Amino acid sequence: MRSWWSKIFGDSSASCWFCQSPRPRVIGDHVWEQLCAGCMEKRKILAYPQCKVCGKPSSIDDSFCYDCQRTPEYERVVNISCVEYNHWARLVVQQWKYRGDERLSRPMGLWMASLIKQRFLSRDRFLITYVPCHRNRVYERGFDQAKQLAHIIGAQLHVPVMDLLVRQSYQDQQQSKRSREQRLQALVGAFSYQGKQMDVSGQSVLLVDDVYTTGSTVRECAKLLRRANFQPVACTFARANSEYV
Amino acid sequence: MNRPLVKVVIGWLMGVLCVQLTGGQWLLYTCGFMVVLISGVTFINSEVRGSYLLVALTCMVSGFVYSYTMLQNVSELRIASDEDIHVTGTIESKPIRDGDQLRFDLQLAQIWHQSKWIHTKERIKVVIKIESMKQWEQSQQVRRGWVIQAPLHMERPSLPRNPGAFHYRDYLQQQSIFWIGKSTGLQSLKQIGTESSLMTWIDRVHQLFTDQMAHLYSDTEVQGFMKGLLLGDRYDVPMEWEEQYQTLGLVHILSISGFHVSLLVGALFLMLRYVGMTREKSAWLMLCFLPFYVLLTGAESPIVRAGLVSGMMCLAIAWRKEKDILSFLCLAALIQLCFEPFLIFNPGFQLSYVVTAALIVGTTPLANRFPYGYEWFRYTLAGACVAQAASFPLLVYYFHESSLFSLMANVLFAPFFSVVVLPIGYGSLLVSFLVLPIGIWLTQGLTWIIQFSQNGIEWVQQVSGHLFSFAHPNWIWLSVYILLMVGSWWTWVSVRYVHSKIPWLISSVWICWIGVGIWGTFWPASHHEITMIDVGQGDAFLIRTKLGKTILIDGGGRLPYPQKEWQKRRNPFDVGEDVVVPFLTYQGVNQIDLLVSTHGDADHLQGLGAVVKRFPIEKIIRNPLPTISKLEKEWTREVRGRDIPIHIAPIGQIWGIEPGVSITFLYPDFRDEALYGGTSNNAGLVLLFTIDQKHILFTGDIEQHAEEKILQAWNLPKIDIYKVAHHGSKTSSTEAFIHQMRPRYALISVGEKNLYGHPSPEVVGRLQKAGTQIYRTDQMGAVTVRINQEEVQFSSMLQEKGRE
Repeated sequence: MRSWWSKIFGDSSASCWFCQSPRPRVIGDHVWEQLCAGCMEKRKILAYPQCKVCGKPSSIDDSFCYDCQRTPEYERVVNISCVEYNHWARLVVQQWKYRGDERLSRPMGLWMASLIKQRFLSRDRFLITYVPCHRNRVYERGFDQAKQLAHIIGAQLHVPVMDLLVRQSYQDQQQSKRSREQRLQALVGAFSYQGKQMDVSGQSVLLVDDVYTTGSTVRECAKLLRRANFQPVACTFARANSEYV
Repeated sequence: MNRPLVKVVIGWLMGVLCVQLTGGQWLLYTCGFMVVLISGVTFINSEVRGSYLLVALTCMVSGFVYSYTMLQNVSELRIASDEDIHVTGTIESKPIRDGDQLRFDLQLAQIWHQSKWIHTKERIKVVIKIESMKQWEQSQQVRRGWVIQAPLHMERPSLPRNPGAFHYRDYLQQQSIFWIGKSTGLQSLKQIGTESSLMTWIDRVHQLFTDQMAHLYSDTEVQGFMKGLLLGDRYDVPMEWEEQYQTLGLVHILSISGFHVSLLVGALFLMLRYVGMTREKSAWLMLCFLPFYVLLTGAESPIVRAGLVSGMMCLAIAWRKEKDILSFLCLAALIQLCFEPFLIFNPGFQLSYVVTAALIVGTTPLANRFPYGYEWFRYTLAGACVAQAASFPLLVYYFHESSLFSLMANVLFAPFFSVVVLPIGYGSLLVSFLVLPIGIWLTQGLTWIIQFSQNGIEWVQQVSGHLFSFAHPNWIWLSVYILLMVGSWWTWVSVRYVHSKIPWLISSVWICWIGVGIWGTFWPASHHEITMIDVGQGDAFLIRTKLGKTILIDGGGRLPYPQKEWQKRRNPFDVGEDVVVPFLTYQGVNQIDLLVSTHGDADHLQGLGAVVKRFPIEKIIRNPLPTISKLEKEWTREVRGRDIPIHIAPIGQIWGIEPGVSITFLYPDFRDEALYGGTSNNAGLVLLFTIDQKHILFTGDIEQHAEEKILQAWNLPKIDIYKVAHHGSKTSSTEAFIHQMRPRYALISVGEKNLYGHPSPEVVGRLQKAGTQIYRTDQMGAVTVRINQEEVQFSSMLQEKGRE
């Protein structure tokens, strides 16, 4: 029941995408501005300069980070991310993925879409694909989180989304709960390419995922896509920075 | 976004528009509304039906309200114009003493008419002419609330006599004032009582502050300026300053504007909070203070607006409710319109609300899109841009000019005044009641700052060519402008166009559209236009050709008569400044290609002084004789100072202006001995215009001698339009001259009830005998002639007397 005051004067405030607190409503807001003051303070946009491959903030302009230096050149995948994977981002992702708050895909997807528009849309033709979940995991969660993001981005940018990859292995322990070495181990043979063999030489494909920690998942998927003659680039919502892995 | 009040205001505006378009025909739009309502109920889907019905219903209500109040808004006095009556009544407004005039509004109680007292409730305007210095001093005693008895000469407010001139009758009618009572001498005013009300008490407090300010500021100009700024006494601001601020688009900071009120309320609120009061208590305190402040500073519509909105803000704080300024603004508009429906036609009211609404909606999104800079700077810049863009169509519609520096001046000066001058001004005023020396010390610093900024403003002012005239815009130009403005704002602000070129595209189209407003359409007009401007007793003709060439022949004027210091008005009437320049601006003139000065008499030349100052001029043509009068010498010096070439009329030559338009210089011959030493009238320049094979003869003030000379030297063709020489004096337009020309039409530029008795009945008789149709400014106001190959059309401002 609205009070007589708000019946006369209307509701001028809206709610934050991520925590439902009231926020001022401004015409033409970008999705990342539609946050309450609290979220605005906690979320952290990745600072420049960044590693020119994986997007990790670094102190030197136009350089490779230590991780990217360790990976061989043919395995490197260019990645862009919206926010740093800090405590706030972790809570958001947890609420979305593990507690099934499916609505959050929308702001995350829109946020990623406008980032992609800024950084990648100069490439003339590209496709969108995503890092898939195992079908058992989809059954557990009720939705495939990366697929949802990919479809929102695709609709926003008018770019087709294709299911090119499929997840083969299903493990009890989730990726996010392992160490670097364990992850690298576990990923071998985790995905396979299921798309048709097409003549796509040089076609860019955008790989969508939610969180970029070490980049191993993205690189593994990219390897398969490269084998099918695609040129993969990646976009993730959050990206870990060294102190918070 | 659910804002019912915004919908109500939109509906209200639509209702007013309907009444304006249909002229208040009840049946027509009652039927229209029924159709709208029924279709709304039946066809519209449920989601928007609520808003649709709300808008439609308010539209209907406001339509009925306006057509009803318009019908009711007529005078109840059954008196004739120019009648002398006795009245009693109460002074309703603060009396304003301006030079030798005392003006106030009078709420009538009864009038003595046809030898009986009649009760009435009408309001009239009273203008009393002060005759002596003693009366001038006494007039300061006249106060609001006096019950007076006076004999008054009743007149209807004047109608505009030139296209685009101020419509005084409509303006007063919108305040439900239909008569002006005039009287001479203060002794005719008899005080028979005093009614005290809240306002008389507030006037007393106002007087207290005014007196205190007289102690504080030693410089009279700065004192007047600060009175305007702090107490809303617009009439104390020096006229020169006001004009400078007006041309730079800064006039809103001169008198108390709504922004000042919000700023003051905000500052006081923060102060109370700092002292340690709760938010709620400080809000209640502010609510008590606001009405007092609004009344003290004159309660003009922008101040009332700001007072209402700030009041609602305080109420929201006190009751801990949500604050939505846009809805508050809409409610404030509705409250003001309920009390005075006709305010909606007032330019000040429109500007105030349109700009505020645009600022509320537009500033923050735009400021968020500026990539660099401090936040306060981004907000100032965005606010200035939004306010400029939103006020521009209204300024062009009502005032027809705009300065290129307006945006820059607003960004530079407006924050300076609100952050520096205003707080120190109020602070020093309040402190001075406690410790006078500190107040004086503060104001000395302030005086220095203001004079410094004034120098800056004057310097900017002197840069020529920053002021553009815009011809009166039609609705197509206006609506396209508004579409482009909103469109470019939206594309800049919206997420959709972040990295695209569309915002740039739309904004450049928008700026080009402003250019179209300045330079008019790109194709030639269908007619050449000659306007006989109504300058009273005097001559002024504007010729605009099809291709847009502008020729001005004389500029009217009157001899300045000596006045004592106390008699001088704040803004003395000047034909050039108040008639000719506004008319040229209204026509969208940005440059005068040829200025013709026939001779040096005041009624032809004096008005050109203001024209030379305002417009760039290509060249000036005058008669070949030396300058005699002091006025002409001064004027020539002014012209030389501006590097405008002055040519001597090449007698006997023909000048082509553009295809189809040429000027033949007929007279005077500088070898004619008789011209030297005689009156200047016979030395006047005589021009024959040939426009699309029509001959138009401009004769200045020539008399019999000159006419004879012209007849000797030239074989005149049949003249189509004859500018009657010397305002129709009987010493000119001789029988022989008229017989030779046989003019089809005659133009007489002459003042109403002039002292010379022009035009003389003899001349009118001579012209009528020759079968000439006469157009004269004293009866018809300005007369416009439109000429092309096929036709000659006449139209005049005061149509009802037009075709006799």
